[in-house]
Parts: sequence; structure tokens; C-alpha cells
Amino acid sequence: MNFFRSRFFVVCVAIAILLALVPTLIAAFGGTDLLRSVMGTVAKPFTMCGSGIANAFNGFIDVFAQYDELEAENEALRAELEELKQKEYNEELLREQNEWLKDYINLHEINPSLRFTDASVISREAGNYSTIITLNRGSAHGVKKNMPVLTDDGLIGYVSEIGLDWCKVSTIVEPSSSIGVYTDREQQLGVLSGDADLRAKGLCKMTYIDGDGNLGIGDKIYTAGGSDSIYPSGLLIGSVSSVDIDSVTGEMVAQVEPSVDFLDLGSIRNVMIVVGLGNSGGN
Amino acid sequence: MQGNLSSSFFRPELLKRIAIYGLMTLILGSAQCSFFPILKICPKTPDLIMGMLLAITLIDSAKSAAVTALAAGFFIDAIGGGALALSPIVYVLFVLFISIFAHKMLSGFASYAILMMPALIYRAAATTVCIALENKALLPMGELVSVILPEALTTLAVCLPLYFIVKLCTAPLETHGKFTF
Repeated sequence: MNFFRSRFFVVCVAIAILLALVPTLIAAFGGTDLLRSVMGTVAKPFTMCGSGIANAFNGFIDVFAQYDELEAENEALRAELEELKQKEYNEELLREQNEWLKDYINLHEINPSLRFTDASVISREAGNYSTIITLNRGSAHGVKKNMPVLTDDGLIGYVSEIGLDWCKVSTIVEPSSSIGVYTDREQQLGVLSGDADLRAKGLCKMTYIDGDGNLGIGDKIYTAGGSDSIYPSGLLIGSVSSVDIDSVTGEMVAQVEPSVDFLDLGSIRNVMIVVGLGNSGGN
Repeated sequence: MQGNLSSSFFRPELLKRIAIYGLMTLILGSAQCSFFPILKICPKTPDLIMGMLLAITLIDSAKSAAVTALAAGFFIDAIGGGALALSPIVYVLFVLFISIFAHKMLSGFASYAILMMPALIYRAAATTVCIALENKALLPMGELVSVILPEALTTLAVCLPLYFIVKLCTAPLETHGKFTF
């Protein structure tokens, strides 16, 4: 045990006590040890580097340590997202249904004498030259030939062909269509019919305009009804878009833009079939 | 006399020791105060300085270790210490304590590993004293064990490979290879 008695040991312990006491006393009296301050400054790059490496290392470890946790969280979030998507889809369906029912009620309020049945469009004409649509209602549902078909926007056409649980509807822009009509402003009577050329533009023409021919652009056109018409009176068709004089016959001819957009048949999804007429007649 | 002292201080061997042990103290001290306390996989901060001093004691000499202990203790307190700056005393006494066993050992990893046991016991005792002085009361045994045991295990795990790093760093030095004082 020579080293305990050696001068080196005594000096070391003495310096150690000094190094321990001086900073402690300086700190106790609220002072700042200059030597410690210098040491801290010298070590700062190393400590910053150490902290940086540790943080990077922790981040690397977290990838593995939290993998299961993150996977579970990811699964839960996916399930939640699916649920929200489903909910949004259901809400969209409900919203559409609600809109449809509102339209149905409006239509019924405007035409209280009419009885309706709802129908959905199940197919459209494959070709690009006609505007015939097929509905999911047929004779089994009480639908008969020549029954008018409409939406809350306006008249679509009539049932031209009937099956057990389906029917085909010829629209008013088809050349086979011919309807007695009147205008809302001057009560001008006329005949609205389809035209092969105008059908491509989603329009139809009004001819045999009686009286003084006081017809203006924007005049609303309604079905005139009557005993020989399949359409009841007062169903909105559209509005006058142009008025011309036929160069051959010299008669007034008006182009009518239907309220229903026949250029975009895909937008027609739900329709009403008038199954009971207060004032019905055959064609 | 003055010339003698000056030539003794500027001995190349001494300067090499100052440079190597100084740099090791700087790096290991910074790691002990900034790297390991943040590292999530380390339950407690290991005492790297203690491992380094033990290795220096075995590879070089207790004299070198004692001087390094003074500098390292002061450095550790400067960058990561609290109000009580006891580290220089703790480390110098550690070198002296470990010297009791070290002078009977040969230099080598086996000796280092065996001496880790008394070193850890010393560390546990020092931690207990430091906690008692900081809190001005003795902690309950259960609470104390929850600090000391993880600290000892972490120190053991990290300091065992440290021997080889110190051995590598002291390769340029003309080490005595056994305990001398």
C-alpha cells in the first residue's frame, strides 16, 4: 500500500478536492466558474454531435420498435376510411332519393289530378340516332302504352312499347312525336313535333301556329291536352328558342328547346309515368 | 531547475498521453452526457469514463489513470454536472480503489472483465452517496435498486467493448503493460 502514502496520491486527492470544492462553492454563491464555462464551450460541438446522433439513432430504432403499432394504426385508419367512404356513399344515395321524392311531391302538387308511378331508366338506345329510353316498369306495374312520361323538369315523351316489367319511351324530340301545345304568354296554339335534323341538337319544332302568330323567344310551351291527346293539359315542355318563316309554305315555324336536356340522356335516371289521367284521351 | 521541469513537461510521451487521453475524455465524456441519456434503448446512462479509467489503469498505469480521472471528472461536471461537482473525487478515488486489485492482475481483457465487478460495486456505492447528498436523504432500497441495477448492467454492456477501443487508442504509447505506480 505504498501508493496511498506516496506524494502523488496525496497531490491527486488534494487537486480532486479542490476541483470539486471550488465549482461547488462558486455555484453555491451564484457565481460562474470560468474554467467550467470554457470546458462547456469546448465540448459543445461534441455534445451537439452526440445529441444529433442519438436522435437519429432513436428515429432509426423507432421504425422497428413501433412497426407493429404503426401497422395496427394504419389498419385502423384504413378501416375508418372505408367506413367513412361507405357512409358518404350512403349519404349520397339518401340525398338523391330525397331530391327525387321532393321532385315527386312538387310534381304532384302542380298536377293534383294526375296519378304517378316512379320508374328508373335501365337502358338507353345503343345507337346515336334516336332518343329512346327503357324503364324498369311494365304492364305488371299497371303501365300501358301511350302513357306520358315526365320529370320535374318537364315532359319526356310517351310509352311507345310495353313489356311485362319494362317499357320503352319515345321522347318528344323523336320524329314520331306530335303534341298539341300552347304558349303561356299569348295562348298561341300549335303542334309540337320532332324533327330528324333538330333531334341531333336536342330541339323540336312548333308548327301550325294559329292566330296572329304572336310568338316570342322565351315563351313557355305547355301541352294543350284535349280529348284526342295522350297528354293531359298543362305539362311543361320547354321554351321557344327561335321563330322563323318557312320559305316554302310561308308559315311561321318556331324551334323549341325542351326543358329536359335530350342531348344528355345519361343524366335522366328517374322519371314519372302518368298512370292515371284526370283528363285523358287516346292518341 | 526551471529547464528541468520544462524539458520534463515537453517529453513526447507525455504530450502524446495528454493528446490521446484528452481526446478520449472529450469524446467519451460528451457521449456520456449527450448521446446515452437520449438513447431510448439505454435504460440508464452508462459510466464510460469509469470504463476508460479502468482500461487505462490496466493498459498504461494508475498514474496516467489518476491524472485522467481528475481531468475527466472536472470535464464531466462542467458539461453535465449539477450543483455538486463531486466527479473528480469520485473518479480519483475509483482509480485508487481499483489499483488495490489491479496491481495483482495482468493487463488484458480477462483482467478488465474481472475488475468490472469491483468497479460496478464502487459505481453503485458512489451513486448511492451522490443520490443521498443530492436528496439530503437515503432513498428506499427498492427505489435505489431500480436505479443502481440498470445503471450497472448498462455500464457493463457498454464498457466491455470499450477496453478494445482504449487499447487501440493507446497503441502509439509506450505503455508499461502492467500496474505501476
